[in-house]
Amino acid sequence: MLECPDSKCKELTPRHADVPVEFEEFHLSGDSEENVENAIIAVQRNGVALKGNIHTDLKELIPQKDKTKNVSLRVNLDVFANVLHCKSIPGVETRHDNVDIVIIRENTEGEYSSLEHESASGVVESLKIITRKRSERIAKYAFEFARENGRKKVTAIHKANIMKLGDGLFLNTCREVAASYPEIEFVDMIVDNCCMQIVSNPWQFDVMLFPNLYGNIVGNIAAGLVGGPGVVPGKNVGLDYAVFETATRNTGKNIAGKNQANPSAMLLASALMLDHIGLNNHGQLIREAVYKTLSEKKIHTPDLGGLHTTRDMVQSVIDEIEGSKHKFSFR
Amino acid sequence: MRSVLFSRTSLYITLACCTHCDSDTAEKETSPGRDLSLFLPRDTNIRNNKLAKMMSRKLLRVCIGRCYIVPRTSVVLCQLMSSTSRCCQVQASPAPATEVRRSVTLIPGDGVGPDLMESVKEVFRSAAVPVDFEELHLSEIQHRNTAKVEEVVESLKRNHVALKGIIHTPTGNIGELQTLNMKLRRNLDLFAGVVRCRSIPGVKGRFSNLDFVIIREQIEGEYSALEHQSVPGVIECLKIITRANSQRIAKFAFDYATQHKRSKVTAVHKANIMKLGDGLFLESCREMSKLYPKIKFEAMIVDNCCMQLASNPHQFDVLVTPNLYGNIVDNLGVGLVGGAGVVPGESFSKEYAIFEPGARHTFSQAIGRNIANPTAMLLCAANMLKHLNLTIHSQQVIDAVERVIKVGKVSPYTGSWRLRYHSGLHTGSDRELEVKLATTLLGDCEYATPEVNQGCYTSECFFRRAFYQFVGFRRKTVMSLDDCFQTPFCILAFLSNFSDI
Repeated sequence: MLECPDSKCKELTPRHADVPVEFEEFHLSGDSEENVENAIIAVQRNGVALKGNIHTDLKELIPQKDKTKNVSLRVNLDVFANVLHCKSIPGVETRHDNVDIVIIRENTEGEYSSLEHESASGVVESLKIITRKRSERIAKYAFEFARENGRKKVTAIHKANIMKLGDGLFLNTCREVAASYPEIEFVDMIVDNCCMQIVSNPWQFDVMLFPNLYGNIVGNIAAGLVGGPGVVPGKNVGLDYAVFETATRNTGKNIAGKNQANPSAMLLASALMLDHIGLNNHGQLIREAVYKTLSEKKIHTPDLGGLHTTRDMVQSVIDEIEGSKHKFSFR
Repeated sequence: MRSVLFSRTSLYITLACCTHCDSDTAEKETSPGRDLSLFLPRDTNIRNNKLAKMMSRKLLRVCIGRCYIVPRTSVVLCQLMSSTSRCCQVQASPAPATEVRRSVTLIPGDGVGPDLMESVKEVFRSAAVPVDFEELHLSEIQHRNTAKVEEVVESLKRNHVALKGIIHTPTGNIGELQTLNMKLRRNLDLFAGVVRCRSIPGVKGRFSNLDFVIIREQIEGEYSALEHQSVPGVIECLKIITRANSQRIAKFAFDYATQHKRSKVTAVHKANIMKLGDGLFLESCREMSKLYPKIKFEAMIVDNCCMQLASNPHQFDVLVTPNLYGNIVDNLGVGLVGGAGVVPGESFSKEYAIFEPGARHTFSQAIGRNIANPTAMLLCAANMLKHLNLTIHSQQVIDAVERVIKVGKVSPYTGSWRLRYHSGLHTGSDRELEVKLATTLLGDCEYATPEVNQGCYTSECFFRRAFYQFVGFRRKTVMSLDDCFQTPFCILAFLSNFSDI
C-alpha cells in the first residue's frame, strides 16, 4: 500500500470495518527524491495502492530531467486508464442534479510527455505524443467498461480540428474500436464545445473518453458539478496494477492540518480499492456508510457548505459501519 | 455640436444642443445626486435648433426652482441625475446629415453565420447605423464560395474592423494542417482574444451576476499546426510558447484590467506538467504583474480553474490564458452565462479588430430553421459600433437587445438547444426576436413619426419619439410635439417621470 500524508485518518475506517488489509505506508512528497522508486517497487510488490495527491511544486521550474512524481508513478506502473465516476450524491447540494458521468482518461501520454526544450532563447517547444497503440488501448478499455456496466453511450473528446494528426489519430482509433461495439452509441465532440455542454447540459453524457489533458480538465469540471474535490474518488488502472486516489488530484494544501478536509473522496477511493481486490462486501459497507453520512445525516465539511470537521465525519462513518456491520457476514 | 443622451428604462431622449460647448464649467457645476441641473447661458445661441430652444425655455419655466444660470457659456446642458436613471453622456455625436459612413468587412462564416448577419443588417437598417458592409465569404467547407485569405486581409487593411461569423474547421486529415482561422489570425497578428462572460438579465444561467473577462493568446501554443508522424502510429504535436508573445498577452491583459477598472488578473496554465512551456508563460505573466502593483495577480492550474469556474465563478475577474486553455475556458464561461448564442467576443491586434461570437460554434444544424439566437452576433455588432466610436448606435442596439430579452416576450434560444428543442421548450425564433428588436428600436408604430419610418434618423426625431412614447403612456393619445410643449403639466409630468424616484 502506498499512502500519502494528507490521508492519515482514512486508515481508521478500514480498521473499523474489519477489513483484512494491511497498509504499507510510504510518504511521497514534492520534496523527497529517491522515494519514488521505492514506492513504485512497493506497488509492484503489492499490486494495489491507495494514494493521496502529491503536490507538484511550481517553483521548481528550473529545467528538470524528471517527470513529476505523479506522472512518473503512472508511467512506470503503466496505469493507463484513469476512471472517475462523477455521480450526484443525494443530500449534497449542487447546481445540477442527477449527474452520472464516467470519465475515462488516457493517463500516460499526450501532453504529459515531459518532452520540452527551448529551441531558441524565449522559445519553448513542448511535445505532445499520441500513439495508435495507446489510443486503441484506452478506447477498448472505455468500450469494455461501458459494456460491463451497462452503459449506452461513449463520447470521445478531442481537438482534431486543430491538431489534425495527433488528435485525429486518437479520434480515428476510437472510431475504429467503436465499430466493433455496435450496441454502444459512439459520438465525438470537440473539447471546447464539450466544456460548454457539460456545464449547461451534463445529462447528455454517459461514458466520456479522453486523451490525457482534456480528461484532466473535464474531469475536474465534472467533479465540480457533483460536489467538488472532496467527494469524488478515482482509480488508475493498468494491466497489472491499480492506484486509487481522489478524482481531482488537488492537495488541499491550504487546509492541511486544519481538520477541515472532506474525507469522503479518499474513503470512497478506499472502497473502490476493496472492490478491486475482491473485498466487495467491505467496500460496500464503507461506501454505504459514507453515503449515509452525506445524504441522511448531512454531516458536511466546509467544502460542501457544512460546519463539521474531518474528524466528525470520520466518526460518523465509523458509527455507521459499527451499526451495520452485522448485515455483512465477513468471517 | 454636442448632444446628451438620457435613458431611463425604455425612454431615450437626445437633446441636441448647439454651438460652442464648455463642458468643463458645466461638469464642475453639476452636482450629482440632484434631480435636475440645468445650465443655461445668458447669451444663449440656440437659433440653430428650434427644438432645443423651445425645450430649454420650457424647462426653465417648469423647473425654475432647480435651475442654475451659468454665465459665459453658450451651451445648454441638461443633465438628469437620479439613482435610477442611467445618464450617459455622449461625446461629439455626429450629426446624422453629415455623418461619415464607415466601411466594415463582413465575414458571414459557416453554419448560421449568414442568417445571423441578415439579422444584424436588418437591425442596423432600422437603427440607421452609418455602416457599410464589405461582404466576403470565407469558408473551409464551401470550396466554391470562398474568398482567399489574402483578399480578406486586404479588405481588413482598408477597413481595420470586421464583423465575423464562425468559420467551420473540419475535423480529420484533409491535407493542410493550418486552418483558415489560424491563417487569418496569424496574417493579421490578431494575438488577443477577448470574451466577456456577463450574465444578461432575463437569460437563465446557472449563476447570476457573473462578470469576468477571458483573455486568450491566439496565435501560438497548441495551434501551431506543427505535427508529424515519427513512426507509423506515433504522432508528435508541437506546442510553441514564446516569451515575446507571452509577455505581449500578459501586458494586454493587465492593460485591459487597468482600463476597465478591474482588480485581479488570473493566469491559467499547466506549468506543473509542461514546466518549460507553460512555465515560460506563467513566468512572463508574473514578471508583467510586477509592473502593475495595483492589480492583484494570481496563477491557477487549468483543471482547477475549470472546476472553480463550474462551482464558484464569482471569484474571477480577468483571466489570461495561452491558446488552447483559453479556448476551453471561453466555452466553459460562455456555458455558464447562457450558451454560445448570447456571448460576444472580439479579437485584437495592434491595428485590427475582429468581432465574432465568444464561443466559436457554427450551429450548422440550425441553418435556415430560424431557431438560432442572434443575441451574440448583435452584441458583437454593437461592440463593433462602440469600437467605431458610434456610441449612441451601439448603446441603442445593446439596450434594445437587453430590453427584449429582459421583457422575455421572446424567449431566445439559450443554453442547451438540443434539450430545449426536443422538449419543445423553445418558443421564440430569431426572426421574432429581430422583428421585436426592430419595432422596439422604432418605437411602437402608433408613435412613430414619418421620419423614423423612413429611417432618416435624427436626434431631433429621437427626442420627439421619446416624448410621444411618454405622452402616449400617460394620455393614450398622440399629440403633436408643439401641443405637448404648450401643456406645462405635460412637461412637468414628463420631467417628474425622470426624477420621481
